[in-house]
Amino acid sequence: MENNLLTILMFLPLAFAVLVLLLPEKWSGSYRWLSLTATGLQLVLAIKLFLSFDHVQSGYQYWQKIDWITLDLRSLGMLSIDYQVGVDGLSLLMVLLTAIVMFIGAISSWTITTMRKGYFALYLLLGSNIMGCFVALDFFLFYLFFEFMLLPMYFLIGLWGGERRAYASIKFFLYTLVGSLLILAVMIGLYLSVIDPVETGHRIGVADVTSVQQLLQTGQIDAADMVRTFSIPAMSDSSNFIPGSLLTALGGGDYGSGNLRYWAFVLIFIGFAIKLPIVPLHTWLPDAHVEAPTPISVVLAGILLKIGGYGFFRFAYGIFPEGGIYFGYWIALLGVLAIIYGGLNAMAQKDIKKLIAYSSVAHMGFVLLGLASLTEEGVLGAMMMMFSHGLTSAASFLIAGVIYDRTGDRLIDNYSGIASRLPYFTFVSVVIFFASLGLPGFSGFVAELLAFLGAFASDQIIPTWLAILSLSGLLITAAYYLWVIQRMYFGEYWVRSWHGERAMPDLTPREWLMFAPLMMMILLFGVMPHLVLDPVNASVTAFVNTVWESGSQYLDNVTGR
Amino acid sequence: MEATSYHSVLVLTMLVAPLITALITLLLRQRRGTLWLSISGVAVSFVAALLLSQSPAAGTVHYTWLVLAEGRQLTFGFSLDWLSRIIALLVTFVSLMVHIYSIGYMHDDAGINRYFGFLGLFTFSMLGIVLSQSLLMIFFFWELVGFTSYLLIGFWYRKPSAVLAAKKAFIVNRIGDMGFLAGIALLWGWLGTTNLDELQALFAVAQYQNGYWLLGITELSNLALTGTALALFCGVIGKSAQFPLQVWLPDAMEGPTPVSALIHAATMVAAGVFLLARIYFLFPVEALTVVAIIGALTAVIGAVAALTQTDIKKVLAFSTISQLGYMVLAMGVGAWFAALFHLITHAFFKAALFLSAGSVIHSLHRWEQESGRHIDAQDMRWMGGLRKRMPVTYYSYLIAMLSLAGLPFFSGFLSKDAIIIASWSWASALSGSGFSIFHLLPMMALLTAFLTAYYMGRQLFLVFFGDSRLPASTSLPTEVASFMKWPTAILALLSLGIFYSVNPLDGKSAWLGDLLQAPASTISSLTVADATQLHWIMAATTVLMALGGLALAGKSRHALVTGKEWVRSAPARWSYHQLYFNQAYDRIFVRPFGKLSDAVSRFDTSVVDGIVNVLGVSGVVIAKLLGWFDRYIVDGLVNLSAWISGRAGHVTRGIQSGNAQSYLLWGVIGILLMMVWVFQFMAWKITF
Repeated sequence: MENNLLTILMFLPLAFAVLVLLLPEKWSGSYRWLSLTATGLQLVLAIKLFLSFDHVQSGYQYWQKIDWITLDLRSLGMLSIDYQVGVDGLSLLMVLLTAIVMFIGAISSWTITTMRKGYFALYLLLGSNIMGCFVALDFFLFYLFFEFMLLPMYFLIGLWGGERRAYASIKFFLYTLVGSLLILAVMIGLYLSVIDPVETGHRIGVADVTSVQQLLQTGQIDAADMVRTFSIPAMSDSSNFIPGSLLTALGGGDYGSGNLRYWAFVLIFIGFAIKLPIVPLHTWLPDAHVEAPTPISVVLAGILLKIGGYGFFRFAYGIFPEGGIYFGYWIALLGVLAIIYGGLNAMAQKDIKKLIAYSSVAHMGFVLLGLASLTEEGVLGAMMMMFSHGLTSAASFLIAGVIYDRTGDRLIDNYSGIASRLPYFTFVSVVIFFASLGLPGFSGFVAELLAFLGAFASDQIIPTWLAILSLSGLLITAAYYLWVIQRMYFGEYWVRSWHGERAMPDLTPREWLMFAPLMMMILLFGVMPHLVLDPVNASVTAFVNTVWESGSQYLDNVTGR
Repeated sequence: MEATSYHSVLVLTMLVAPLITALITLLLRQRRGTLWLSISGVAVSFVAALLLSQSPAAGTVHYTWLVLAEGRQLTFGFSLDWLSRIIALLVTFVSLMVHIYSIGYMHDDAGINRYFGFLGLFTFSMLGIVLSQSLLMIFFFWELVGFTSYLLIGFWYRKPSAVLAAKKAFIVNRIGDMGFLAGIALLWGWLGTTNLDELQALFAVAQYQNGYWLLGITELSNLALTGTALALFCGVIGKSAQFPLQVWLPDAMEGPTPVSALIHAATMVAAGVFLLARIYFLFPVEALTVVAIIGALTAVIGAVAALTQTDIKKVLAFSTISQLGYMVLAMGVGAWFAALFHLITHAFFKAALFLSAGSVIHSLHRWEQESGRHIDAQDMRWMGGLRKRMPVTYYSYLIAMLSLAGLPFFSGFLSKDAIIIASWSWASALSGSGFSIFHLLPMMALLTAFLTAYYMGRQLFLVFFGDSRLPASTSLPTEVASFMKWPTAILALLSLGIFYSVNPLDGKSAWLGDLLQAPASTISSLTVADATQLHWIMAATTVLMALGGLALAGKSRHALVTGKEWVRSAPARWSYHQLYFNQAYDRIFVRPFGKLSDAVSRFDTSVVDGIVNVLGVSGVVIAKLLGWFDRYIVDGLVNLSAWISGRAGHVTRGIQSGNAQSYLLWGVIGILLMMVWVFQFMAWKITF
C-alpha cells in the first residue's frame, strides 16, 4: 500500500471507469454513485498522502520506478521508458487539489441525465489522467497522460456542452494539441541528450552514479552503452546530459547548444502557457468554459489549468533553469499583462461564466508573476494561487451552475436582487467572490500577498515599476466582482428569462455539500496558510535555490564566461 | 518585551468575543434574542479593554503566521502599548454605545440579526487593526474593516443607492490600499520584515550618510524612503477619506445612522490616522510635508462642502472629512499627540452628533407613520423647533456640537487648538523669520475652524430652533426611547473638556499626553520650536473664529429658515456638489475605465480570437485545397495509372491462354527483356 499509494491513487478512477462500462445500461442510476465512490476513495487516499508527507524532505516521496519499455537501439544506445512516479512539494498540493475538485465535480455531476454511461466513464478516465500528470516522473509517461486527458475532455465538452459545444471543443482540442506538439518536440530533444546514469552504470559495470556521470562527461562511455531516458529527475541534473548533445547544459557544443536550450525553454513554456492559459493564448478558455457543463467547468478551471502552471515548475524551470533567469523579466511582464488584460476583459463580460473564465486568466497571471520572481515568497505565492484558485474557481463555476440550473440563463443583466429570494445562496456567493478578489482571511489573499511580496523582493528579475503595476489587479478584480454582486444579487428582485418565471429555490442540500467544504477550506487555508505551505516549503526553497544555482551556472556555460 | 499570559488572555478575549457572538448571531437567523448576545460580546470586549488599560505593563504577543526560508517569517502579533490600549478602549466603548443605541434604532428592521452580526464583525476587525503589531496584520484587518463597512453601508441591499455607495466605498478604499500594500511589499523587499517593533528598532538608530539612510545592513536613499512612506500613506488617504479619495464617505451615509456613527465617524475612518501614528517613524520630512498639505486641503474641502448641505447626515459626513483632515495635518506638522488627541475627542463628539441625528431621523420616521404624511426624514428643511420636542437629544447635540465648533471648556477646543498651534509653530520653524508659503496651512486650519462653527451653528438652528416646518398634522415628533437617548447623552458628556485636561484652556496639560508618546525615529524628527508664547494668541484666534462662525450662523438663521439660502449662487452650488469631485472622477476615470474595458474586450474577441479563428479557417481552407489536390491530382494520377493498366490488361488479356507452357514462354521472354534492359542500363552506367 505505502509503496503503491500513488499508483492506486492514479488508477483507482480508471478501474471504476471500467466498472461503469461493464455495468449494463439499466443500472445507469449507479454510475454516479460509482463515480462518487471512486473520487471519494481517491480523496481519502490523497488526504492520507498529504498528512503523511514528510515536511522536511525536499526530494521525491512515495517514489516508485518500474522498467516499462527497454529497447536496444544498437549504436543509438538503449531506449528506456520507466513507469516512474513520485510526489514532492511541487506536486503535493496539486495531487490534493485534484482529488478535492474531482470529488466536488462528481457531486456536481449528479444532475447529468443524458448518456450517463459515457459521461461517467469519461469523467473517471479524466480523473485518472489528471492525477497521472501530477505524479508522473517520467516525461514519456507524463506526456501520455497529458495527451489522454484531451480525449475525455473533448467529448465531455462536445457531447454534454451548450449550444456552441462543437466549436468550443474543437477549439480546445486544437489549441491544446498545438501545445502538446511543442512539448513533444522538446521531449524528443531531451531524450536524445540525457542518459539514465544508474542504468548506464549497470551496463558498463560502474555502480557509482557520480563516476558514471564523470565518465560520461569525459567522453568515455560508448554511445552504444548509453541508456537514454525520459526520467525527469535525470533531466534535471546537468551531469546527465551527453556532451555535445542537442540540449547539453554544459556548453561547448558545436552547434550553439545554449541557444537550443533557450528555444527548448520557450517551446515548452508556450506549450504549457496554452494550458494555463496565458494572454494571448487564452481564447479557448472562455469558449470552453461557457459551453462546458458545470462539473466540467469546475474541473477545467479547478485543475486542468494548473497542469500548465505545474508544467512551468516541473519542466520549464526544473529542466531549463537558466531560461527562468534569462526570460524572467518577460515572464513577469506576461503575468502582469494577464492580470490587467484578463481583468479588463472580465469587466466587460455579460455572461457570468465568461466573466469567471476571464477572471481565471487574470488570476493565473499571479502564478506567472510569483514564479518569475524566483523568490521563495513569490514561488510559494504562485503555488498557493494555483491551489487557492482551484478551490475558488471551482466554487465560482458552481455558483454560475446554480443560477443556470434554475433559469437556464447566464446573462448578468437578466437578474436583480437575488439576495431577497435566495439569502443563503447570496451568502455563499458573496463569500466566494470576496475570496476570489483576495479578501484577507481567505486563501486567495495569501496567494496574492505572497506573489506581491515576491515581486517586490525580486529586484534582480522584476523591476519595481512592474511590481507596482501588478497591484492594479487588486482594484480591477474588486471592480468586476462587486459589479456582479451589485447587479445580480442586490436591488429589487426580478429575473428576466425566456423561460418565464421559474421557481427560484435556495440552495439544495446537495449544493450545500459542494459549497460548504470548499468554503471551509478557503477560509481555513486563508487563516492558517501554513497548513498547506509548510509541507511544500522545503521543496520550494530547494527549487528556488536550484534554479538560481544551476541556472546561473548554465548561463555562464552558455555565454562562455 | 513579551507580555504575560494575563495580557494574552485579555487581548484574545477582547478580540474574539465580538467575532464569536457575531458569528452566532449570523448563524441563528431570525431569532431576536441573539441581539443581546452580540451586545454582551462587545461588552465583554469592552471590559477586557478596560482591564488591559488598568494593567501597567506593556508588551507584545507574537505569533508566527508563515515561515519562509532563512529565518524570514511573516509574523502576527499584538501590540499592547498605550496607543493600542487607549484606542481599543475607545473602539469598544463607542461600539458598545452604538450597539445599545441600535436596539432602539433597528428595532423594527427585519434584518436586525444580520445588522448586529455585521456590527460585531466590524468591531472585531477594527480591534484587529488597533492591536496589530505588524503592518501585514494591520493590512489584513484593514481589508476586513473595508469589507464589513461594505456590508453595513449596503445593509439595505434593496436600495440601489445604498448598494452603489457600498461598492464605491470599497473600490475607492482599494485604490488607497494598492499603495498601502505596495509600501508593505517595498519594506519587505528592502528590510525583510513588516514587524513594527523590528522596523522601529531599525529606524530609531538610522544613520544618514551621503544621501542614504543606513538601516541595519540596508542602505536606502531618502527618495526611496519618501516613496515608501507616501505609498503607505495612500492607505491612510483611502480609509480616512482624505483628498483626493474623500468622495466615498458622503455616499457611505446610505448605511443605517448608528453605523455612520461608529464606522464613518468614530472608528474606521480614524483607522487611517491611527495607522499614520503607527508608521510615523517611517516618514522622512519631505513625506510629512506632503501629509500636512493633504490634511490641510482635506480640512478645507470638507468644511466648504458641509456649508450648504441639506441632508442632516451629509453635513456631519463632510464635517468628518474636514476633522480627519485636521488630524492628518497634525501628523504632517509633527504634532503626533495632537492628532491622536483630536482622534479621541472627535470620536466621542462626532459619534454623539451622529446618534443625535439618528434620533431626529428616527423620530421623524415615527412621525411619518403616525401622521401618514410623507417627508424626507433626513432633510433639514423639514425640521426645526425640535429643541422642545426632544430635549435630551437637543442637549446631547448641543454639547457635542459646541465641542466640534471648538469652544473652550469642550474637548474639541483642546485638541483643535493644539493642532492649530502646532501647525503655526511648524510653519514658523520652516520659514525662519517672518511669513512664508508654509503659513498657508495654519491659515487653512483657522479658516476651517471658522467654517466648522458656521455649518454646525447652521445645523443647530435648522434642526432644533425656530418653528417646526413639518406639514400640519395632529401628531408631533417625540423624544426617542431610552436605549437611544442615553448612549447619545453619555457620548456627548464625554465631550466636555474636563475629562481630558485639568486646565480647560490648555490642551498641553491633557493627561493622555503622558501616555501617548511618538515612536522614536531619526528619520521623521521635526524640530518644532516650543510654542508657549504663541499659545494664547492662537487660542484666542481659534475661539474668535469659532464664535464668529456661530454668530454668522445665528445672524443668518432667518435666511436659513425662510429658505432664502437655497436660492443657489455659484459658490453655493460648488459647495453643495462637493466641488464637483464626483462628476470629475466619473468623467476622467470611471467612464474611460469602462470604455477601456469594453475596448479591450472587443480587441480580445476580434483581434486575438480573430487571429485564432483565421488560423483555424485557413487551416480548413488549406485542408480543402489539399483535399482537392488529393482527389483530383494525386488520386487522378492513381486512377489514370489504374486505367492505363486496365487498358494494358485488356490488350494483353489475349496472352493469357490458361496454358502452362505459354505462361512459361511469356515468363522467359519477360526475363530476357528485363536482362536486356538491365544490361543496357549497366552499359549506360559504365559508359558515363
